[in-house]
Amino acid sequence: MQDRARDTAARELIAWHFRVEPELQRVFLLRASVDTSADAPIRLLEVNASTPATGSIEPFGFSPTDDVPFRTVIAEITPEEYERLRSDPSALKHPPGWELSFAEEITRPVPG
Amino acid sequence: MAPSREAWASAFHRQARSDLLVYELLAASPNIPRCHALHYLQMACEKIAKAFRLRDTESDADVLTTSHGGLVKFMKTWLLSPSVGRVYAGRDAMFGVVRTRVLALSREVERLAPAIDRDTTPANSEYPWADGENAVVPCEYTFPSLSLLTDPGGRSFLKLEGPHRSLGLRRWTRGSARSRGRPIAARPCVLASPACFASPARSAERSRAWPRVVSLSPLRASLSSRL
Repeated sequence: MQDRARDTAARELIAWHFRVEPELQRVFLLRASVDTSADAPIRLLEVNASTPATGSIEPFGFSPTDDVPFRTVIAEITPEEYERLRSDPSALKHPPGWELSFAEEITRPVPG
Repeated sequence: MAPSREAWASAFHRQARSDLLVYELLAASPNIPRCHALHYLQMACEKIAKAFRLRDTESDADVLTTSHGGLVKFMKTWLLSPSVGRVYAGRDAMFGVVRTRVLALSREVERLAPAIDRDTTPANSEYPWADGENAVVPCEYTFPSLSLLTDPGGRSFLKLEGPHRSLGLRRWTRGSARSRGRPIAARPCVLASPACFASPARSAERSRAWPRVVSLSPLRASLSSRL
């Protein structure tokens, strides 16, 4: 039940991100591989052309709200960094668990 | 035993608040060159960003505590956090305006650090830099790119609040004849506790005890008339 609620909240949050971030290309909803507790955070790796390239995945953690009653951790990478990560998972410095292996990819909805 | 990540996050957050108090004092002192206030502003923003990085339990704490920069990355993700989403629910256009202004300011503040983007934007708040044949001294420079800080939107960028009291920064007012300088009605701040890795219930409890960081609500109010 908690997993379903977290998934629903995550998808609503991602939908909002696509609406307000014009340069956002795709979002990876990371599945829990490190933190498998019931209150594991929503973890989003977002590919955004307008984010500064740093050569690493830098997640920031945010508090729950009434609408999203889960901790949320968000990291942004550039499309170029994403390509590097896709071809070589060790190409970007990243914390444990921030890998694409267990992630669900969500692409920008087609307008209309 | 080393401090916990939560302890580190709290420590960075508290030091950021203190830096901002100094910024406010220096910014209000007409005889002190602007670079000194901006230096404290840059340090405060860097520490706030680090406090939120430290809330991710998986990143390397040693790297976080010794690295520079990160404000723009932080502000970009913070603007996409659930707290901000709640404030701007159904107001996507307004959010776009706020986002543009806040990110522009974040970029300029981040560049104040001498270690950031020195080749393309050498102006910084600490060390002299070359401009052709001239050596520019920070204490004699006006930092025109940061003039936005004195606009209503810029003042809200700086706004910090504790749960029950101001942290020393002036309460933002519209400053216009229309509002007669009255403070904007308090709205919930949109950044919550660095202790976010508690359960939601515990987190809400802790949020009341923790100071909150930045409020964009006055910025929204100040921009509403322009849309």
